[in-house]
Amino acid sequence: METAVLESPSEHRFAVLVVHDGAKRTIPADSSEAVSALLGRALHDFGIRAPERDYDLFRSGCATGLPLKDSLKEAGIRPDEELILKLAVSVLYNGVTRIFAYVPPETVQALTTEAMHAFGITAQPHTYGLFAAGSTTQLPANSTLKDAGVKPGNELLLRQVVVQGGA
Amino acid sequence: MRYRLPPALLQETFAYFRRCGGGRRECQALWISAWREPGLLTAVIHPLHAAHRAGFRVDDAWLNAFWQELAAAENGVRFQIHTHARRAFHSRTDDDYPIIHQPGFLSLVIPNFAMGEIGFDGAYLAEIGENGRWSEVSISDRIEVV
Repeated sequence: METAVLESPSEHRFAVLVVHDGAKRTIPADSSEAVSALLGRALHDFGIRAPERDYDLFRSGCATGLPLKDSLKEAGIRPDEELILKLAVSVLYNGVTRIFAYVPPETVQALTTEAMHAFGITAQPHTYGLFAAGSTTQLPANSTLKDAGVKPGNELLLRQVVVQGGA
Repeated sequence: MRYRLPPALLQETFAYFRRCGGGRRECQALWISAWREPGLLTAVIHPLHAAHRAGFRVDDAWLNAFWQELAAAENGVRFQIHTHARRAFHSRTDDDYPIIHQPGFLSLVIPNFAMGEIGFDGAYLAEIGENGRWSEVSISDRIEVV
């Protein structure tokens, strides 16, 4: 006779520590829920009323944010793990979207370099640029992200500035 | 990685080159596949581009829109393919201005404006290595027409 093995609901539930702007909160989590759900609860607990796309959760020392569609289990989030809540922008490259922590005084070139490294791009840095979605004007490399008009939650395109070929 | 290329995609690619290039101008196409199954090439894309005496340049607005479409569909570009008037090789321009610059990206050059027999006779295939440099690789090692 087969016996069904039932997982205890409590095995899925745990808590994580979320840090934002020097404050720390214990946020309940469920291993089966999406990272985006944990993000939503963290924003609520910190009293942040911004859209979810403006922020992301990051592991300490990681340049790219946790993938929002993954479950906490898929993302490898462990009980009592400490995550950092930061302003974020999305960067698209060759069909892949990554979330990067966003600091307004940071320069466009710094984010470009960080994103090129995260995507494994081996081109010369000066041949690549960031573009706002819908604009063919390259964000000025020496400008701060703030002065370049980049806002939290923005979607930026990372690409070769000029694509051409010929004999 | 060795990619599986449906024959219909190869035929469609040559059709683009012949229609767009008219046997007189260089032209470019891209082969894409889904990130969930990268080894199976699923579509040929014909970028909006302007031909000039020395080759071609892809339209900036088209590139931006394509970048968003790729992300929305979770597809990636695996090959860029373009034609030369005569002999196929990878020029300095081809080296410096590819659409993708990640290790494993492939660039196929077709001779004679693709006006010859459909296939890889006289073609040249280059791949970006881990060091970021292009090197010639065997076409049969990277493409399987299935």
